[in-house]
Amino acid sequence: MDPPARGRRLYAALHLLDRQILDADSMMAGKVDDLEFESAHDGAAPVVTDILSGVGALGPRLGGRLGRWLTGIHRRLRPEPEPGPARISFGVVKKLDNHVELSLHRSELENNQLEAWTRDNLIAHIPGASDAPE
Amino acid sequence: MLTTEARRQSEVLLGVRSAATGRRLLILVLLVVSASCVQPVGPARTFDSYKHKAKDTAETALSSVETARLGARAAKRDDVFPSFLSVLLGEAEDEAMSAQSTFDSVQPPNKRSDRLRDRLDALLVRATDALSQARIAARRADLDEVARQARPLARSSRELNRFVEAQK
Amino acid sequence: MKKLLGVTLGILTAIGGFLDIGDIVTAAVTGARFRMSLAWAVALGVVGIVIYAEMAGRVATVSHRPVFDLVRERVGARLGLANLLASYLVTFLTLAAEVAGVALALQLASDVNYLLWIPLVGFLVWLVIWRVKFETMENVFGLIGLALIVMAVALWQLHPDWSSLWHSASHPEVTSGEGTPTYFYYAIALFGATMTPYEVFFFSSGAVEERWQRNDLMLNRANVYLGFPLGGLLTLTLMALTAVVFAPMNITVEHLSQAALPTSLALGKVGLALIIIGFFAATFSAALETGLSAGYTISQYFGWQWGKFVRPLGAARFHAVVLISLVGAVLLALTAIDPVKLTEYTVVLAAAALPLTYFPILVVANDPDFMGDKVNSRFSNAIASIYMVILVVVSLATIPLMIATKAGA
Repeated sequence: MDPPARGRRLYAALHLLDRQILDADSMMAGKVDDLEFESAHDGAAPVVTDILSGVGALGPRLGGRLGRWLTGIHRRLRPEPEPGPARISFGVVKKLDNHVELSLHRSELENNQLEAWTRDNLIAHIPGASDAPE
Repeated sequence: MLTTEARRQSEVLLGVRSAATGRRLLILVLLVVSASCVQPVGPARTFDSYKHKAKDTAETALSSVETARLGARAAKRDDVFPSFLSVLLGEAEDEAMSAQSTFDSVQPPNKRSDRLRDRLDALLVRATDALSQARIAARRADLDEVARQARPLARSSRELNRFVEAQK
Repeated sequence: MKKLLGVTLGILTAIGGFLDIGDIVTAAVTGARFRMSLAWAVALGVVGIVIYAEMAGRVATVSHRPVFDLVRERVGARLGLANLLASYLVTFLTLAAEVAGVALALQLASDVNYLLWIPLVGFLVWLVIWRVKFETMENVFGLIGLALIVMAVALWQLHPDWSSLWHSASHPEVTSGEGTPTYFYYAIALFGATMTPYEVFFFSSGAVEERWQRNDLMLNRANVYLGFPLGGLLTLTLMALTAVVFAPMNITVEHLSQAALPTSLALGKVGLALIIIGFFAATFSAALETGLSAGYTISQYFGWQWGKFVRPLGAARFHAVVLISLVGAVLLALTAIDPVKLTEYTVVLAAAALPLTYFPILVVANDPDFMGDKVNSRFSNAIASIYMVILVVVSLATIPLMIATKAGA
């Protein structure tokens, strides 16, 4: 990897990481907790393929005991035995400025599990949960 | 599969230290707070340190008595609701009684301390008695009776004041 | 005209909503113990929170995102997490203290033990957060909190020696019979009570909840520059009341009932009723704010949808965090931990965590990416940086002083 390409990768990461993700309805859909790259084989700069979001991505990135605990929570929420972090393909990114805007609704995203679970098992049972704010 | 190693490394210096420090600080803080919360009454080994505890106890009792006197004054002028007065006097009484029982649990180190203890106990009994009477009257919404406690409370105030001055 | 009404409402709400249980307890306790010689700590705290609240409000108004939301982007996930843990812990403890404070105020009115009120208070706080519109919530409790102005009337009615009060405030010295470490411990407590972090998170998120636009910047400044200092004046009024009535009699303040007594002596039953109402409004609105802030801090770090401006089904995790925090706070209060002691410890811990909670605000407010042309002026930065130094000094001194003075005994 030649130095200029590596420098640009770092630059991109600083501008993408920890950014707020907004979905197609401008609802908040998590943060860019980690990124996945694919190294280009012809010596060009690596390409971001996916955004990783949620505790499954933040855990490994933070590392340490806290990171392992977060990853553990992520594993408990998923049925599959070795769930990877929630992935958002970079292809659905519509716009990039102060936040990352997607062309999907958040219900279609992999990192919506905890929200859906909390909504269906807790909040939906409380009267008035579906009332629009005045 | 390459992830953001470079970013992670650039965060290492600032991040790891701050998160680990943050966690250590949290544990330290929780320990200190719990240690400060539990304040076991240490023993008094000398007459001077016992005298010091006696003085502190008398000052606490005095604070309660003076609060109750103000309450009695307010009762006389009908400046308070009985429910409020009840809370005020009940809390003052609790404060004094708690100070008394804490003091009584301390082992007097010598005979001279025994005499001091007896003197203070007599004062405390009179004080808590007057405070109780006032509290009982307030609970019964008998503001006149509360106002009447002004005299015994004033006497306790004088006695405790003299005691505190003598221990200085 | 309507704009003027809006500004006035904002200022009045800021005044009425300024005090919480931390301010009430620390002001009453220090007034009785040190008279006015710790007034400077309140003044210092008020200037600090004015500067940082204005910054936080400006950040939210200009970038449409609250300050805590932007913290992680600016300082990174790790430092952001340390910030979150400290902020949430302090906010949670404050929530428990406020809930206990509401229960104490209700006890003063009813003579029903405060422990029995706590579950009901927790439920009411949750219910208001769940159902009542944000602006309505703020305005109603802010205005009711103005009942605390009765304290100023009471002080006037007592005909205190004003020159002596002024002298005590302007010539701070360690009262005879008190140690210097204890003096500074209580200075830190007052400072922490005035600069509690949740006020800034709440103020910033509130600006987004109420959808402030750029032309609301003036409103933001008016609220902060006028409302907060006047609120601080109310704190000093309570300090003066206990200084005038309790200090000469060597009464130590250990209970909320004592904090209400001087007003009752000065103005009778009417005064007493108003101050109890004022205590109730102050603590209840603070409970609402800390409850919401508990939700804001966690949700904004993880990027979850938050806020009362969306329906609850759309912000499930946020509402779950608020609910769980309230339950936890109620449980903590039900352990019968002395509410006054809990309050004192919480404000001191808040003081210890101040640099961690405030530093990111300064960083974010200087970022042209979010702020555009509304970044901090050099003047603001100068003062804010001086304050950052003060906050670090205070933070470092807190734990040693707490140990040395046995938490202010």
